Amino acid sequence: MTKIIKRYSLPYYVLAALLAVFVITVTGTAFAAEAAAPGTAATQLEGTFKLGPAIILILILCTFIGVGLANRAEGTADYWAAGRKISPIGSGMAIASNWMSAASFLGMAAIMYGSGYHGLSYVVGWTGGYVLLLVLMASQIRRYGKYTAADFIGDRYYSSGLRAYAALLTLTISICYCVGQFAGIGLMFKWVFGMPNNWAIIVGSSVVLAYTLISGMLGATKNMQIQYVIIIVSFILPLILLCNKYGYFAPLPQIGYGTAVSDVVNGLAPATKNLNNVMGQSFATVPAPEFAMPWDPATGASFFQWLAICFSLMIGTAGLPHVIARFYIVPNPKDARWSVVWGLFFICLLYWSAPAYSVFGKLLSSDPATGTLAKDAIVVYTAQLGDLYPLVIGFLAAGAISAAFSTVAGLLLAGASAFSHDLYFKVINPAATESRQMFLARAATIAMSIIVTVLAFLDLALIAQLVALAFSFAGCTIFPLFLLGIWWSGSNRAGAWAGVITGSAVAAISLTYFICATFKIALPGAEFMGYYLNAWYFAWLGAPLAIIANIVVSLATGCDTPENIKKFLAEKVHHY
Amino acid sequence: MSDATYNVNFFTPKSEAAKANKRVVVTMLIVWFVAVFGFQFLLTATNSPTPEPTHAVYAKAWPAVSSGAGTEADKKELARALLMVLGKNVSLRAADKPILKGALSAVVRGLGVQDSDPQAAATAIGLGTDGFDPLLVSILKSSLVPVTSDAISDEHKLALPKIMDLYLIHNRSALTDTRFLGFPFHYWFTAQFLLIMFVGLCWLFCYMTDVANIKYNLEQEGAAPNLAATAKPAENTAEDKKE
Repeated sequence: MTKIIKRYSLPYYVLAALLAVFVITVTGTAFAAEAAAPGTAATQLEGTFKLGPAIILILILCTFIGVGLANRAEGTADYWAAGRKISPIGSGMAIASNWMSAASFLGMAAIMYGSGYHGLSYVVGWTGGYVLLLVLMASQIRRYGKYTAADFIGDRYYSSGLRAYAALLTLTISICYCVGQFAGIGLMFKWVFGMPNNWAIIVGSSVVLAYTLISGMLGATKNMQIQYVIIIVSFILPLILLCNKYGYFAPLPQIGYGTAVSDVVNGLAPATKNLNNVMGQSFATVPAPEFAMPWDPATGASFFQWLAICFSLMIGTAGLPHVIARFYIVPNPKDARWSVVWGLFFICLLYWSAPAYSVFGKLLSSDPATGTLAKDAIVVYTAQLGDLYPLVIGFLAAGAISAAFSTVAGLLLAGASAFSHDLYFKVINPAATESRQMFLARAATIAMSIIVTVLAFLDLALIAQLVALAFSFAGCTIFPLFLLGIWWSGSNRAGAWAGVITGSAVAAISLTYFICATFKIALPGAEFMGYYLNAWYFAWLGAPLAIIANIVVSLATGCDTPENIKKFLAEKVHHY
Repeated sequence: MSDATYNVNFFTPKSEAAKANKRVVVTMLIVWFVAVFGFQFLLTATNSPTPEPTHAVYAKAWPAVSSGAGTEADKKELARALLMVLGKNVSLRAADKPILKGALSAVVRGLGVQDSDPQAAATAIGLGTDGFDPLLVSILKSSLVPVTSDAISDEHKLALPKIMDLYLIHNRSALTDTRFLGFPFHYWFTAQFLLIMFVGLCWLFCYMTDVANIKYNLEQEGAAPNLAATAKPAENTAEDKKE
């Protein structure tokens, strides 16, 4: 105990005290609100304070902070790469936890609830990308032996400029990705505490920021393993209960919900189950084939869009800096490979289950009297409408927050290391001390949190869509640099610049149209661009163009890749 | 190894280990691509627009009701069809709801219900207690809006056929109508099988790579090279200094 106390300096105790004040304040408000609202059902859908969920959430947050403190980063190696001490299964759990964000936990079910089969493009895209990542990159990245994505790009393309640009890309991608996460955290804090949306985002982002600052990657990685268990148990337990309650195969809800899908397609008459939701409406639906039939016109989504989203998410997976960074923390390339297998398996446990929430949500909210539910919260609304025990629903909400926390921690760390390590230390001031780098990393973390919080206020799109934007951005900028950098020594600095500028230009055009459409500013060809170069899936075009530009310019300028890099690639990375 | 052999190209591997790796990677990528995208192409090639039974009910009643010559039976059938579409609730676009509700309310008024009374409307339409009828009664409660005439407005007459087609015609085929483990087959394939296949492919790749590494005596595990401590190509290049 004394040893632990000695490890931490005053700022950490100040942060811990602030968190304690937050917990006590929220708990006190909780009891006061509960007492002031006699007769309020614990399972009201929204806008009220929920005591059980609040207690569970606070307990889990305290656990995260405790684990973060106990495993606090003590140096840059710990802060950025967890000291390279993590086993394949542990790393797999961390990959899964890092990966399964609010977009996985809340967003996928939301997309499928609204768009049916179209939403499965997200499920397939966010898992299929790991096959690309494994067979094309995982062990090669580890063999190359760097700390960050920008490190690799700067070294492989022997360019400080590209290193700096990659660091900026990492920062941008992390911010885009975090916006969806902060929106999800805000949504759950709003649901649990009944506070206004913007305040919920501020409180939630403050807690996740404090946690990330304290723990660093080592603490975050240890926490990610705990968070994975919380995420998966909290996600599957309500499904087992829902299947059991509504007469589907409960021991394996991932299979059990199949019959429920057919019930939605064929319609389920009220007398068939003779069961109600919490509001007394029948567990029934008129036939709704549009929910499961491919690219149904009623969903407004087309075959092309399905393919474009799926492809963009897949290559985005293999280009996300915070995902690539996971391979630097395992001891060797073999562990890097097997950690992908374990990570994907752990991820799939949740992804096999996610569509079930959309199906049960559909069956439980089919009566128009239910009103319009926020799609992004359909997971918790489904559990509420199914009248599950409030503590189970609270656990589910805590799981959603855990999912967002673990991802945000990884993203903020990736962004902070891009700024402090790749931009400041490697480009601006190579003489910077380790403590100076750590200070800048933490300052960058705070700055990113503030930017993301402001962007989250704007409520730009569904969570999954906001996250898909980050994937597309990574897919047409970082992915081509890694793919060609690893597999073709002929790709040179000029080619890399041409590729990354092409990818960035496609992204910039798409984002310009998206922002103008959001703020009702008319641009020529807006309908065409909105369909073919949509902000959620522009990588389907941007990535191939970036790869082609890289190859053409590399060939045109002659292969000037330095011999030591080619030798390193041939001998150490590929065993040629 | 001479300097000339340091060129790395995925398509022209030089060592036996690299050639074996290329074969595995290419095989994996082909299986992955065909399973993910090939199946979706197959699905779209076999699909054909298939109306729901409700569409036939609507199609039979609509011409007469829209021309003002509909019988009471036509109006009841059309009201049922409209309720079946309104029951799709979550799938409905916000702009379509007022049109459907307005048309339904006009038809109900044409059946002699003047004051948007849901109970009277349910009786007039002939909703009972069998099948979907109790659900349609519930949907009716939140679907009636005040109207001044029993004639569907010209604007709604124009929009309604497109709306009914949109929500009542779906892409279906043998792949969507076959059931597997309770799922429509295509849904199971995409939502479940593909994920199982991804995990299987990854496991297989790791296993085959481990076997190959033993065979070719590669990867002294635990002693992975660290570029930062070895080659450091970036910091030492003249090209970098030119930038």
